[in-house]
Amino acid sequence: MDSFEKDIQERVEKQFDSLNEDSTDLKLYKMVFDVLNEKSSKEPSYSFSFNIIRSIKTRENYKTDFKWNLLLLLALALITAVLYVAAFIYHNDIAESVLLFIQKFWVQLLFILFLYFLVQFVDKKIVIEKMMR
Amino acid sequence: MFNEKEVVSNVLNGDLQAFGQLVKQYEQFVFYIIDKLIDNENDKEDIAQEVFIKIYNNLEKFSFHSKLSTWIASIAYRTALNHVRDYKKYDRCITNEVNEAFSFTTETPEQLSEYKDIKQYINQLLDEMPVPYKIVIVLYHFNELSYKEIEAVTGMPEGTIKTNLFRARKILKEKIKNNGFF
Repeated sequence: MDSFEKDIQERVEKQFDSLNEDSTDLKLYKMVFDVLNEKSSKEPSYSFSFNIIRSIKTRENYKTDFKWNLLLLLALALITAVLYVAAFIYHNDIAESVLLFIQKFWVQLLFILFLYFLVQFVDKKIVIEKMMR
Repeated sequence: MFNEKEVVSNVLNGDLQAFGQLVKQYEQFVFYIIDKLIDNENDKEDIAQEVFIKIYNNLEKFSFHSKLSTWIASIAYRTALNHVRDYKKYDRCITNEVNEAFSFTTETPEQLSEYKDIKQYINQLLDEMPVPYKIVIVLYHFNELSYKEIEAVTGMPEGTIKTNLFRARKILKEKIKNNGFF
């Protein structure tokens, strides 16, 4: 075999190798694509979208409740202010007796208010956590 | 026919049923991304739910500069990644950069013989891959996203995406060939 023939043979072998390489790559990419195209092992449950909508509705309700609670606090502050004005400027008997009652039981009243907000907060936390499970 | 502009506009006007339609349209897509990034089966639905609640809360920020699916994929990707970071359930690299020397674990011939077919083996290898390799393979090959879209989803520069894709395919090919699956 002369050097020319050898050279030709080497070139043909190289081409053949690279063709083999290309076909391996193609096969691999096809396999990867097939694997990725297979359905996810974890499918969403039938109630998935329903659960999300319910969770969003609950959150929206809690947002509204929060606004109402702020309004409640404002209203209580306003009532106390009105009672003070009525008692100290107009010397209204009822206002004075209510203020006396508040002065006497302010710790208990604050505790009731605190409990009310605590129950609402815990309820919200538990319900949302349950929904996220 | 799902008209994303109309559905988004209805959701923004407070129509929760329209959001239900959006969830139905994209739930498989979101689950697919989460499934590929999260190992724990029990966490997947919770994370998917978290993704859709984030979508609902941030929908007014979506301005149609990209496809809705790209925007949703970016939220799913970041939420899954945050979960991985928070709970450190992965001991693999979770930044956008991957050590070039990354290699798969070496199996014994007995372990290799346990694989029923090459598809099961490829799945196992994909699971083992670092997140930045896996996410580009998943988004490029399965979701058929362009480099620009993958950049929008992951925040990786286009060059890094191309490098990660090239390296991921290379190590996958070498591993499969070395173990005699071809």
